[in-house]
Amino acid sequence: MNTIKFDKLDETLYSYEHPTGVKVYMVSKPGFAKFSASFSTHFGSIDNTFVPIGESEMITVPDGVAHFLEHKVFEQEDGGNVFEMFGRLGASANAYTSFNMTNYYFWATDNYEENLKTLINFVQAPYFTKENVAKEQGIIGQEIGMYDDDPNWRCYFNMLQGLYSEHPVRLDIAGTVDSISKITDETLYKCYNTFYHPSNMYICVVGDFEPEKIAAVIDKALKPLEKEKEIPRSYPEEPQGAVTHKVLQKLPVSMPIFSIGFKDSKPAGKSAPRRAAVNVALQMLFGASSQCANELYDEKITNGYIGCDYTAEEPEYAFVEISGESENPEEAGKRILETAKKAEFTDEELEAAKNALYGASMLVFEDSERYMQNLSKSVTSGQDMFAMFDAYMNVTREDIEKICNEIFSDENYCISIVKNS
Amino acid sequence: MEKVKLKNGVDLYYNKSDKFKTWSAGIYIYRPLCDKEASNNALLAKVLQSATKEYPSRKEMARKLETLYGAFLIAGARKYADTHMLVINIKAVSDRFLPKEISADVLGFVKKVLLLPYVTDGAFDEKTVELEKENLKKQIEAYINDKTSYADKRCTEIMCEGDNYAADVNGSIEEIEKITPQSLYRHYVDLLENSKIDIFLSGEANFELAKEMFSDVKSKDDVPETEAFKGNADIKEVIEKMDVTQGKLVMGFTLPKCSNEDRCTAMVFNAVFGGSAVSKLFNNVREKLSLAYYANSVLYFSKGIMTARSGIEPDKFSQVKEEILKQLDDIKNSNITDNEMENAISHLVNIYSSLEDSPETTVSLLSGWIVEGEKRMPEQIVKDIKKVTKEQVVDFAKGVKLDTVYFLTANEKEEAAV
Repeated sequence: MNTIKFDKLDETLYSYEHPTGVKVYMVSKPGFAKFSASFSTHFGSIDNTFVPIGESEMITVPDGVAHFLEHKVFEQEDGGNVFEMFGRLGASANAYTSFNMTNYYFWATDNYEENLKTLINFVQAPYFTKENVAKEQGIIGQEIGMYDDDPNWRCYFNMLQGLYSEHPVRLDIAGTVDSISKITDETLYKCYNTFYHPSNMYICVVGDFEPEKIAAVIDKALKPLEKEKEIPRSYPEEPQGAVTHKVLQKLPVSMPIFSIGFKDSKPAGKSAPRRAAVNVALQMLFGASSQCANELYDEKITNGYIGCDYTAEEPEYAFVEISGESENPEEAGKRILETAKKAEFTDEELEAAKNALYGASMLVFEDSERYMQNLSKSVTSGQDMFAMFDAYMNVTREDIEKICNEIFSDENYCISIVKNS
Repeated sequence: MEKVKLKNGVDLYYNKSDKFKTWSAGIYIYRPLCDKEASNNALLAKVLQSATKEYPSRKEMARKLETLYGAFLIAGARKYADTHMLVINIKAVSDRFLPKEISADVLGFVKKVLLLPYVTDGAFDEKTVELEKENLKKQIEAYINDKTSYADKRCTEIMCEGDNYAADVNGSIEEIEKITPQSLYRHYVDLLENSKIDIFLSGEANFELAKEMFSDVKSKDDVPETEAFKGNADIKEVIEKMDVTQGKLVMGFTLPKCSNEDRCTAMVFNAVFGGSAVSKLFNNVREKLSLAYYANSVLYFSKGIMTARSGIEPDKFSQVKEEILKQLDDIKNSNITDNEMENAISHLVNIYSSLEDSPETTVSLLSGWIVEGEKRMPEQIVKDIKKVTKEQVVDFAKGVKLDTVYFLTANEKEEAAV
């Protein structure tokens, strides 16, 4: 077992690779009442084209299959209900699918070992039939209907479709009613056997425990399988620049909402310094203390502050999203684009933003579930969450100027608007 | 949890813990709920958060918080039973993880937010008040964007029409429009003179300094009283239409007359019925019958109300309504398996045992219990939940009555032309 101590943060990370290829990460937090664990696969909505395990040719599966699989993994052959199994052990369990991963997790205040076994066992026991696939098409159809009515969700994905013409990050995570109707039990098994192979999976545990004891529970529960090579995946080549600079959808909303996307021309998701530099830039240019956000607020162009976020998990895509509500989204977009292109800031603003992000990142450690979620997301994406603290402190003016040049341009810009007719 | 009563009547609570990397201070001001109070408190919270005498703009406030290593200040309103609370909370990284000590500065800053706002000639800054009025009104108009919570709010309004509880946590556009920079300042002065005020510290906070620092805040002794909702004579049913794909059903129920002693029984009843992922609504309406994407229930204990909510196909209205009532009848008829009882209890024990890891959730829960006169701490509640029997749950359920049905559904679609 490897032990890494982060002295400044007073945190210790234990990790090892199981012979089947599962990577295990553990953080022991004395005094925490909550014990949280996740079992995740590096398989998300963007992984539609790959070589299945034991085969040699690339295949393409229907959109939304990773999310569909997430629902079906909860199905048990004996008809047992996974939520009830956890419920009986006093745990709360759930799962989610994102662009690049699927994560199953629970948190509990008791029965740690039993709950952990339950998590590993149910994810490793698939049971898909024609009937249970058909039933799920109904439930997920309802879920897709809910997303279709959600103006924020629509605005976000319309923005992504305005930025990306080829890469599947542009697709709705749940797929469409049409695409999921093409999913069969056979598709599910093919995806499951490939991506739910232990070599493509991660276990993260955060709570008050002895790492050796937890490792023993994990080792015993994992199915014995030979370690596999990396899965060949294929993503279409994505041209530089946004596809279009404006997308509009009509839906009932009280006030128009907007999502502005900037496509990162040099995505480097695994690099902590790059993520730190982009976040510091966003904090300075569009955060609550920024000139731009306060002008938009004071001049009533936006309703309150704007929000901003940088998504960068995989080498093939990365984008900035700036969102808000506005009676005049076009004007908000114009101001935001101008501010981003100029990217002016003082040394005092730079220091304040670095300090603010350093402190705000500490919040991750406050709750075992939140900690586990962050750890799981970062290890599954091949990132190092602990590296962010030094990265924030080391950001320089030159770093910011460089990334602003690479991201904030007319070509990379797209505004998505949702408003009433 | 330590508690001291300061000379000025303020109760200062300290939930000390060194397992976290941050600490927080929360100021809770308790007011009687009504539309006018809610509107004034919600606006006042926004105005207080926007500026102090020393930092007279939002930009300067934000910069100050950045230099305090991203300290997080939030002022807002909360509705709990017949009480409306104005809450100011600040959270900061503990000194030992920072290059310099900031805790005294943080406490001083939050105190100024409460006591030294940006005021000139007996009025708040006009521009700020106008802007925040606008924001608050837009926030109320924006409820419609989230159909699930919009339907919840509509059901409460319809059910409790005529009761102060029908007021929204942010008040109403009509009342907000009446507020002026002068009237808001008068409200602020009244609030500081005539309210019960509690302060909660959590994490590694500077308790001694806080005692001294908050000794010049005034506080009354009593929180506003709550009267349980009496219920409507006949069942109300309201259907509203909008451009949506999925229908939102909300059913309001009244609870039997109860006191704090019945709290744990009510919680277990709700966990069995619809308050958890091991509940009857989740397992039957969602999982077995595949009728809904979500189906759950929420308890408003001291107000004597419970709501059951479900997102469904528009044509499944009657079927789901009947199914939800059937699940309630099953409980009334003692049709609860041992498994269902045990799962509900473990679910609640898990939630309440985990509170010690969430200081802010604990504080928010405790402030509600202060309103209700509940003296027990979460550890005792966990013990008492474990003692609840199936018979108690059945008896409680027998007093639960359907009062109001609200359905937000799709506009009728025109037949597609062939």
